[in-house]
Amino acid sequence: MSEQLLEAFREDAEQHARVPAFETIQAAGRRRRLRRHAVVGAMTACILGVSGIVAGTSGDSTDPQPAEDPDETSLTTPYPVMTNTTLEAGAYEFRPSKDTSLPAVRFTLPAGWNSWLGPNRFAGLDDLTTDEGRTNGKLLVQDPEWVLGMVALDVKWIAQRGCTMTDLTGEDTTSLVEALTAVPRLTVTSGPESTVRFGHPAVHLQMREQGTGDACPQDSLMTTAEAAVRYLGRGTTIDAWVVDVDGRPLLLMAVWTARTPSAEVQDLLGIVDSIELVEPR
Amino acid sequence: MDADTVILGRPWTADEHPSLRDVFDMSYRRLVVQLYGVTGNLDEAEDLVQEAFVRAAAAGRRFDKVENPEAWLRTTAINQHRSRWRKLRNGQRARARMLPPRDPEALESHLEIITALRALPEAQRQVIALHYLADLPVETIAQELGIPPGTVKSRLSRGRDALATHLAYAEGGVDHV
Repeated sequence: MSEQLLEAFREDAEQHARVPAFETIQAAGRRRRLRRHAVVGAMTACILGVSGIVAGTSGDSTDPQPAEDPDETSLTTPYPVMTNTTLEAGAYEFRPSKDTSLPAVRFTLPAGWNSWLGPNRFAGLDDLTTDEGRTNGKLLVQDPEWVLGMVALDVKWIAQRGCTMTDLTGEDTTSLVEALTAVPRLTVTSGPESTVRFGHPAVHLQMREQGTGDACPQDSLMTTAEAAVRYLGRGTTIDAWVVDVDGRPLLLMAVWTARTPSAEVQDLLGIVDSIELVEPR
Repeated sequence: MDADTVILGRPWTADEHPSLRDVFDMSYRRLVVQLYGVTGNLDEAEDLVQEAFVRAAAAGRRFDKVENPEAWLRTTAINQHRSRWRKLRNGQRARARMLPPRDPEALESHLEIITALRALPEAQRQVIALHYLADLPVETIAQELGIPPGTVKSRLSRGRDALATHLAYAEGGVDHV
């Protein structure tokens, strides 16, 4: 009798079991992995620190150094924007704009990511062992098999249909979202969906780059005051969050090309999950 | 039959590595019920299974090499339960939940068996749950719990008797000689 009752209980209980969103579980796992990477990286940095002091007295290093502030952010390293160099695992921070009304972006990286406008990785990066400062850049411009990265942008100009560029200076989040849905060669595959992300109201949308049917002279899909973001090729996925920072739009994008290994994409999404928007130091 | 049905309708072969998503879809509900049986507490079971999946997600590619993902998740959850049980006794417990509210009437018709399971000693409840809710043979239960097969058999036997007694009481009493 108890066997039959147990069997009936099992069937009903399985049917009524509440199932959480898999994405929530996956995100929690990614955060935990990143924290582990960061701790290992910090420990490695501590161990190597002694030899670094002895050997580091001659010559300038392009390696990012830990901030010296004795406050709680002292474990955060200033991110070396626009410097092609392989980064240590750890927490980094940069300002996406000279506009001080926008927050700084703090995030946690696993080891082995390259620094540029935002952290990125690409095919062949792990094989480099020497002269990384210059070789990373050389490799990156040679169209590696796959590329992925994260950027935080204060968008000034954005490509629109008819090979035009629209000025978004002073515009709000709604205008930026509308402009994103009209960028040539990008098809919206998900959203736009209003949500809350990084502690702010935000709109999430995902886009996919198509072929070059409506080819325009410019190869940039948007620009900031300091840099241009170019197309990466057919099949590229752009996961975008337009974050409303007290009325000012901040664009956070995770981007990966068609042949990027899924494990790399998971690491990238883990980096996005780790993002905090903080007051600049 | 579409491709999804083909994939979900048969066990994984040796040269296939199911993604964590596949394992989640296939095993989450089953594991919650098994852990419910093991712990006697549905909230605790949900927490333990979620935690096991979070650990699997954190393991990344290493989890792909696990031969039997469901067994790995179950063992992780049971081990976590054992260590959590020690912590619970010390009054430490805090965990954010990821789930929507539960339907309070969903399992009302199974109160007798749930109550009887809860009344069992922890050691007997574990083997009863693994045998009847997870369909595991004695040898596998012994491996997963790290105890001799003979111990599993005796706990199963005593657990079955205890369950029968509890259920008989619930039905209106038993004859005593």
